[in-house]
Amino acid sequence: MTPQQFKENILPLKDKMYRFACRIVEDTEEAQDLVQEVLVRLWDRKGDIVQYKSIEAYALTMTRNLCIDWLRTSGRLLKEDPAEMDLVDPVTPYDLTEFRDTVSRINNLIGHLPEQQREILHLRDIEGYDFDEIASILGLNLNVIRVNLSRARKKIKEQLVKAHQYDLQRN
Amino acid sequence: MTCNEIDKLLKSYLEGETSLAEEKILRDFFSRGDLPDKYKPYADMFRGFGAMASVQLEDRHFEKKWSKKVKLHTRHGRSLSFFSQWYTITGVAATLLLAVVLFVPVKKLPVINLFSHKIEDTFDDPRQAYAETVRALLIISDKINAGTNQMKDLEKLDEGLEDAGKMLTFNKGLKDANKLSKFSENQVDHNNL
Amino acid sequence: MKTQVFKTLLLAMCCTPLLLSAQNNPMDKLFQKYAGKDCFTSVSISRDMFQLFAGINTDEADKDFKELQEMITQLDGLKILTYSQSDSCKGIDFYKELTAVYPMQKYTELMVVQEKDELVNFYILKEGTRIPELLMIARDPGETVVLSLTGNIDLNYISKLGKSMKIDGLDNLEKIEEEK
Repeated sequence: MTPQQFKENILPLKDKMYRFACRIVEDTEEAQDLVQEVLVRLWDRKGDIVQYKSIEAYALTMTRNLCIDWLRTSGRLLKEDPAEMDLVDPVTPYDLTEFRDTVSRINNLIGHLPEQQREILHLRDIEGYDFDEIASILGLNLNVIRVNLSRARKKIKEQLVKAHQYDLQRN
Repeated sequence: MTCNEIDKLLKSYLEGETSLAEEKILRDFFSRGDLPDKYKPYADMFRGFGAMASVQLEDRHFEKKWSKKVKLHTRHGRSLSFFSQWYTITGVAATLLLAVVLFVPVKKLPVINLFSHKIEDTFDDPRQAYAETVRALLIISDKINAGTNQMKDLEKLDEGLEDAGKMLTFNKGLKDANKLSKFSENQVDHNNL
Repeated sequence: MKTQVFKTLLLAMCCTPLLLSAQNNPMDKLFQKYAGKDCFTSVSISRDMFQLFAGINTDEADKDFKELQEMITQLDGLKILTYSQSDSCKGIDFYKELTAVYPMQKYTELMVVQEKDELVNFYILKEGTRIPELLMIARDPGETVVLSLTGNIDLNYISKLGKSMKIDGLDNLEKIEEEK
């Protein structure tokens, strides 16, 4: 890949990488630094990049890996017990009304999903990737993706329904 | 699109069974202003997702910062700097090891002797270890290829070879065990390391 | 970086007395002596870990990837020890120590690569047609790196691996900036 191609094809991915990084580390400044780092590493490997089936997926995988490394080194990585994954941090409808606008409400809800569901939901419903692409980014099989996506969507929907009812009662 | 159809789509949406095209239909539908009240949560959801998708990395100097970083990175040395990145990782590994050492009761110290025979893995995540392995392999590969491309250096090697031609077809030649063993015997004799 | 040095120092203090028992593999010896010490960074990946790689991304149909995976699962270990010179550890001639610990007569020098002020030596161990170990020693004025790859090593494959990967380095970067 020539520098020109890199500039045209890889650099514009920065927003996608940034959104994904934000989703994982939940820290906008850190996400920016991490995206920088990913792009530096991608530059190093630009000769190699053409081999990857989907550069975009590769860039996002790398983003995810670096984010997780960062979470780990900064001690923010919570150990998730798969059995309890669906139970962690329920958001009460009351919590939700604390967020004035819809976007921060939903952001908060997504943030409370287990890591895998959060990533899958983000890649599908925000970035609009198909299942195959998500599979290659996250290294998961299609069924796991579908099941977790369904769980994530249902959870968000339930919480929003509750919050909506709460809003109605309050007014 | 009738409400019935939408309800049906929503149901399969929640099961994770809608296609991207169907999801677009939903998104379009919920972007309308005049929706029945029961759709409010869904409208919030789809609009929220839409808004999030337009978030951008807002930093006018992003590209500049990046190219500066790349330069710094490259200047540090094309290959050796790669090893320096391991500082952080080994730092973490070191802390982990330290934790192990500190929390093993004194009575159980023989356990640590066992541990001394087996060097701890630096990574506990196979993906990470995998990535590092591939990187190391690429470095080795890069160096070997740099070596085979550099004729000057090859000449040095040729001194130890019976047949200079063999070395030129280094990659292919390696497959050939006979040549290699001759190469080796020859080298041992000349080896003054 | 300071905390890192501190961490490694602490670790060194805690572990060195425990790690002095003899080792038969020269790289293990070096690891015992230096891993965790000031100015040294180490990476060790074991056979167990390589075996785990076999499970990664099983859905991946990519032929190149499969090949790489197969090659890696043939490996027994990867160990890298890097010595970076700094004020806190002057007077260590790591290269000298290195060559003293390694029974160099058993190794075959594969090639020497000189790039600017960096010198890279490759050595292999041979058992018949098999190459059970590849040793790379890279030196530049500030750093000495020793890398040992053990297992069933397919040099041909390793060399092929990087053929497509050419880092263009600074020159091209300058171009990017000019293009702005």
